[in-house]
Amino acid sequence: MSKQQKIKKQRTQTPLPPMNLRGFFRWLWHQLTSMNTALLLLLLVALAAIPGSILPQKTASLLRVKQWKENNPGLVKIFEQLGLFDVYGSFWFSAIYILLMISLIGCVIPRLKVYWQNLNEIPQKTPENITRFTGYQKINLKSNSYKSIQKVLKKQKWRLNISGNSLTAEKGYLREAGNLVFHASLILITIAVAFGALFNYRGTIIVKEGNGFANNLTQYDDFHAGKFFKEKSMPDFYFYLKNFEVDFERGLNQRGAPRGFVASISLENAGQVEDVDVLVNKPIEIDGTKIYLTGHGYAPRIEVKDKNNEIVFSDSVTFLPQDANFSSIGVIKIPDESPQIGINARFLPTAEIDPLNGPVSTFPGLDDPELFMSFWQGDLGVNEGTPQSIYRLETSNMVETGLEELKPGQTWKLDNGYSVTFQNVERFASFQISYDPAKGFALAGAIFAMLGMFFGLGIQRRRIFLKISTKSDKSVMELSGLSKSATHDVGLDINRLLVELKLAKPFKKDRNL
Amino acid sequence: MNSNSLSNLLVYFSILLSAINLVLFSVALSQNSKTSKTSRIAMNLTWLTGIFLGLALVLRGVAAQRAPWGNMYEFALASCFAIILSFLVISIRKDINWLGIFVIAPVLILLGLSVVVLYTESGPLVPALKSSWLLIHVTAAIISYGAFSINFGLSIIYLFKVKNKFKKLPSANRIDEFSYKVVLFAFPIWTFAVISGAIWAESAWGRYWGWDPKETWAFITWIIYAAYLHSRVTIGWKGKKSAWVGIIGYVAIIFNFFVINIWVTGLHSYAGV
Ligand code: HEM
Repeated sequence: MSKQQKIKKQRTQTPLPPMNLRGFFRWLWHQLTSMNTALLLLLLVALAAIPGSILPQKTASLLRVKQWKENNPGLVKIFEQLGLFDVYGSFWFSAIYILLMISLIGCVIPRLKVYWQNLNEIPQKTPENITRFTGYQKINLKSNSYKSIQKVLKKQKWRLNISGNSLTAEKGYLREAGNLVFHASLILITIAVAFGALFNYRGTIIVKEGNGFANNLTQYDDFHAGKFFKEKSMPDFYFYLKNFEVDFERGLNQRGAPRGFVASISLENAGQVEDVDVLVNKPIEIDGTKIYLTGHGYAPRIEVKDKNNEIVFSDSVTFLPQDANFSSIGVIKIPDESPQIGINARFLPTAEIDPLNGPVSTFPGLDDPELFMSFWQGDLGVNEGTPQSIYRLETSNMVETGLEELKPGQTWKLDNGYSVTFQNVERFASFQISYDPAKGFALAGAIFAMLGMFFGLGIQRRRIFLKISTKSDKSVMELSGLSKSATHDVGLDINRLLVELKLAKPFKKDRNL
Repeated sequence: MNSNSLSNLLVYFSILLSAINLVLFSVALSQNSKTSKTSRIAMNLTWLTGIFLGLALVLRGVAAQRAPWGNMYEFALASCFAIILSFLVISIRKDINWLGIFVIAPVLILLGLSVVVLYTESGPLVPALKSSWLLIHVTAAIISYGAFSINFGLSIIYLFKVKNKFKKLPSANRIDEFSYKVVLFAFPIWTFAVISGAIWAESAWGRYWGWDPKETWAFITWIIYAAYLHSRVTIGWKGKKSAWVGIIGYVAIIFNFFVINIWVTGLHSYAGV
């Protein structure tokens, strides 16, 4: 093909948009709802989803995003601008799926209209020449049994168009209905997802045994909410963690894997108090808000006294688990002393000394707990107004004045007069509290999509053409069929009809592909 | 001998049988008659492999007292079983002995990887996996993986066939239509697997969809096969183009299973790999 011909061909395939505004929009709409565009958009959505599964995402873990940025400082700026750390909230990802939705709506509505108009459609008239269709055959009939043929066809749920001695039978109208329901359900799911994202909220909290939580914003450790979320709409409940129990595998195989968690809470809602257990996979629900048990850890109780034997700190401190055996880190900051005091600590529920790595935890349960601490004095840096992590000690303006390890009940007396007592170990549980007003719609959409797909893929549209000619006392029946999809063999329908009329034996299935 | 080691033994036997079968199916493919004695023996051995793998799974389940798909090793075993089962079920109605080599070869590779790389002793489930939705979700995923694997095999065969290799296979058109039918079967089951996964995620983590890497790739897989069906029905793609879309879909499945499970951290990490 010469270059000129090529250009000519392209012109005819995609006409240029008309110059006036209305024409332009009609052209745009046409392009957007064309099948080629729909396919392109489908593949684009798949491609666009990939980077978010490989790069760390802010929505999943801010910490991992931070680590990645530290390791790849050169790329941070571009990646940040492209929204690559929040792919599924980025402008380009949204643009693709919004275009896909527009295309989908543009597809469904006209088809819905056509379907509605043709709801009681009668099959088209039998063509003159039916020999060119699938499975054509001529059969001699003993008597004129045209009426009984029609009866059988009706029994087999064909829609008929009878005109004189010829008829067309058609079946499979539910296919289009199924397809429409399926595509419409996809729209419903997308709307539910978008609506949920605007009104939902989700937060996490850490609650120590013997402590409580009241459902308001100030109490959350971490909180995400949609743009239209209103604090007023949060249900006003309170709960108190009575007890947290956890059970670990003790056998050699998968030793230390968690086997069961139970958080026993006392829940107060609308003036009523009740005791409930929250389990993994078994959230509890309060006015549409759900409380999930998501994790747990240790909170060693520590007391610090000054040289006059006065208590300057006494509390249980939440330690962040670092690995599957719950070796955990925690920090104590005492800003009111001068110089200020900080303690960096590592807690091992089952401590053992590894010749290579030093002290490690070898089991997540409390078999032999030990607390390793370093004591720092100087400037904590907490007064400068920049928020600090409660799990990190800023030691650049501090000096280390001692190192020690303690078992529960033991006390460490430092040279500077302070003493640190490791009193005992308590547990904490972490919860996720979440609310999504639209998830019922998403579920309904998913169920309808499944149902629609069942009919849309499972049912095939097909026709049988039939002609009877009577000469003197002999009748001859001619018939053939047409299937709209390549996978359906209309010959089987013809055979089924003939079997019912006792004019043929059932096909033996062909074992060859 | 406890049920765990009996299960391992059966897996080793399955590997042995599959290796023999690989040879038999290749010999059969090079012979002239369509259903040679060699290919009949190979089919019988495939039935035996299927039974062994099924038993191996049941015994794993007995050892752990739960459904035998709680870690990657078991999931891989179950997928091999599903691939062989899909092949055998189809073979009852259609003569597809010629497909054998393309079914056994990936199964052999996957079984080998399971034993060498993925193996874990059987054990109870971590709490997040204790749910009846897990049973439903994973069962659906395994069945559709089995069927998509058959589609993958057929796509490869199609591409060879149109290059005029393997003259004795069914016509390219027939292979193409058949591979489309397999996707028609697998796609709704995969859709159901994704939906039941979302329901499970809602009850375990408090959100039904969170773009976790595993979820993302399930979505990508779904979109690719939706595009496969779409392109056939609406713009009439078939043959080579469809075969390539099928292959791309399967690449997404493999990527999800190996790369995401092993190298990318998400919520879906299994106990002991
Ligand atoms: C999220 C996006 C979409 C998905 C997952 C999807 C999926 C599907 C599936 C599974 C089928 C059935 C294929 C078959 O019968 O073998 C189908 C058919 C169809 N889709 Fe879509 N689709 C999507 C978007 C669209 C859009 C945007 C359009 C219009 C521009 C569209 C128009 C059609 C048409 C016309 C059919 C053929 C129905 C028939 O069998 O007669 N779809 N789609």
